[in-house]
Amino acid sequence: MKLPILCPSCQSKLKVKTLSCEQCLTKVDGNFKMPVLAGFPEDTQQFIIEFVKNSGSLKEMAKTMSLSYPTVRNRLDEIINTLKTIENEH
Amino acid sequence: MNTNLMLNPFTKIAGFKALTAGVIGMLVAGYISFYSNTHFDGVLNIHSGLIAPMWIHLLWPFANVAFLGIWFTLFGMVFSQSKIRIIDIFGTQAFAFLPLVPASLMGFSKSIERLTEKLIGIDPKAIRMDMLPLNDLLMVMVIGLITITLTVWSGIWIYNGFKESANLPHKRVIPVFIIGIIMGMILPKYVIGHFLLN
Repeated sequence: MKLPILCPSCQSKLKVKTLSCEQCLTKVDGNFKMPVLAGFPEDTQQFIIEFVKNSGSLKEMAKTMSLSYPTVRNRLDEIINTLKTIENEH
Repeated sequence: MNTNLMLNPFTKIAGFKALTAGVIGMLVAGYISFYSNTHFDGVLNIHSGLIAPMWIHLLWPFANVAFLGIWFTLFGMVFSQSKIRIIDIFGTQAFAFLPLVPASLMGFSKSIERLTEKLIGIDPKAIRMDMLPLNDLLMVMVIGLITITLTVWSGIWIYNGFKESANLPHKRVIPVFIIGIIMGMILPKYVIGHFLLN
């Protein structure tokens, strides 16, 4: 199931109100901020995970993902720009 | 091969691999064009009827790609927000020449020659359809259509190669591309035609 990050009514950013333990069903209530990465689409999150797993090597990433080097670099630059925008918003 | 890759193979290939494939394509096209008297006199330009030394035929595709490579690298370095690699720009531009390789065969058709001979010296206003051999006319039209298709295809690859390898903002890609193509049609033609052919 996709994690909603924006309010369907007013489009404001959602926060986490409740966390629960699947084991003992304990619930923790609060007003937690969503992690920055949670704001990205799932494929972008996967890209970031792959990037870390490849020690930040774009060449290795290109090989793993069967994409060209500039395509991987452009994708990364796009993510960096989005992160900068998010940082500026805060 | 899916449509996206037909129009933009550069999500999958760039850099040294693309450069190697492009260089092989240019050598093959240059070699064939010597025997077919075809020449690539400028970016996206293909003409038939030139009798010149082999090295001129070989040089022309390289000159065109080199011009585009230099032009796109210069603007890529100035305007791109990414750390671009020269090998990607030259590689993608060399690869973008590949659709034009089959066009080097067009000069083998004698139809263009026969039709040209028929038309030479005739007042354009006096030309009637029944004066022209139908078979040759059809063949020239088919060759023309194929050549236009290959040229458009190569043009799309030049654009996408530049966009992918230089990662410029959209508003900058289009003018740099258009001016590059226009200058690439004129400059290599002028330099080789003026300094090496005369």
